[in-house]
Amino acid sequence: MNCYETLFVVKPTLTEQEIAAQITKIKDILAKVGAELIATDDMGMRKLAYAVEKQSRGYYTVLYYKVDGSNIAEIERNLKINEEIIKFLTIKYGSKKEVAQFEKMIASIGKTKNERTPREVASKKEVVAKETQEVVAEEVTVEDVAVEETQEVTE
Amino acid sequence: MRQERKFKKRHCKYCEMKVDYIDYKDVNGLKFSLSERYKIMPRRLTGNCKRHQELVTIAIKRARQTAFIPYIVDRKNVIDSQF
Repeated sequence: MNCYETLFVVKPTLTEQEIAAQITKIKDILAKVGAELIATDDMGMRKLAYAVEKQSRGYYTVLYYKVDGSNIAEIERNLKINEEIIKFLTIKYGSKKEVAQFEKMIASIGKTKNERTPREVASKKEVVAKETQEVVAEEVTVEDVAVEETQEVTE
Repeated sequence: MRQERKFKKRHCKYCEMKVDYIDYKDVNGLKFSLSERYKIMPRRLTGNCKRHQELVTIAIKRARQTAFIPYIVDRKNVIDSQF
């Protein structure tokens, strides 16, 4: 039994339910082959760096599992047949260091996302706040100028 | 010349952090070793050691295969190749 990681990209034209159905389909194939599914990482809809099958976006999913190496060909064959999947990549984690990294990644799946989102939101808020402040300041100056002008006119 | 100045210190940042494996899904981490046109930066500019440069190379090539990073950035793609 070796550690493997499979990443695949589902077409963005499908509805959410259909995408979920595709993911469960792949999981079923893994179960049929006798793989021990350890973790799944939903990366969600992402922009592709280049067009693949005329699509500019894709739904990324990563599966971490353990199987005998002889079954990988069967899994890849199924991924190849499926027309809704536009990209896939399987990676083996063989050496001790790689396996250690494998376990680290599984442990950090949920955490990194939770850590990242509040920070990003906070930074965005700050930026927005700064912009609004600047806008307000500009408006104030404009008003001052206008007031001065009116005063001059009245004099 | 500008790129040389950007990487002035000659030490491997991965060795300092004691990295054993570089994940191809971490695009922002890979950007250090990529040029503006998403070419792999040579060791003499980044200061990576040979062992880590090889890991970086593998990670970048995998990221290209899975459309995380573009293979090339030309005039056609330069506008819409943002992350």
